[in-house]
Amino acid sequence: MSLPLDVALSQCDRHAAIIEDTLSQMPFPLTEQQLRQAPPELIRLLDQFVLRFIKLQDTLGTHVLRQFAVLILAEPVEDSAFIDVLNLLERRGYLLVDQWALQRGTRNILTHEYPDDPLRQAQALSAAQVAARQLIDWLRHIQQRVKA
Amino acid sequence: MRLSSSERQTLHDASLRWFGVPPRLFGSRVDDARRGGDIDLYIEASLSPQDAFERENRMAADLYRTLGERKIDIVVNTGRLDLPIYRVAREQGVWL
Repeated sequence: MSLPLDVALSQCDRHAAIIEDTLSQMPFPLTEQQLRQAPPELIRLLDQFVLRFIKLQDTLGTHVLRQFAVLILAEPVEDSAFIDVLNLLERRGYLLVDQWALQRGTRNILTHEYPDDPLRQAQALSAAQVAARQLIDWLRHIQQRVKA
Repeated sequence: MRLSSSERQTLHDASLRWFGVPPRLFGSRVDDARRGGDIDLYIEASLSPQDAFERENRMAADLYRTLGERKIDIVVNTGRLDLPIYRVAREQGVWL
């Protein structure tokens, strides 16, 4: 069952704040060399970033997007397929479906551990940094519309 | 192999589109006795690591659009490393 929209949005806000804080402390793009030599603080920061990035995606996908379309934009998508909800939100200017799919792809790569391939880890983490910024932009736009 | 024929076709087409070669399926989905599990794909392609990663990401996005939320792990061997998982995938893998 979905969380109430205001509760879900405040959770997203919390995830976004932590993501922004971690982003401000980590190098971009991340290189293979930096990961190979990463001190424990950077590893902790990256773990925190990945966790919040995944949570932000999940909360938006599971609790926010459909409810936002139904309750705020008054679109009858309660029972529509999720891809139709995404397409609708793209038409209304709130996200880009291709980018959403790419972000999910990045997340899929991040959730698999490649301890013996730090280059791949660095690439995935750098892609996630870009994706997280984009996700937060979309969240801010949605929040503005909810408050309007 | 625990994939429908349309899933097989989708995975085959996506790999051909982004890497120019069909993928091999390995891991739990090859085993008819098991249930659920990730879809593990193995692809060999001589590409730069950056190019391979971008193609992998785009292929994952394509598969998200066509198959929806599925756990799909794409392992691309560009010849840069010799990881144990490559050997496992080559030994167990079934061409799609």
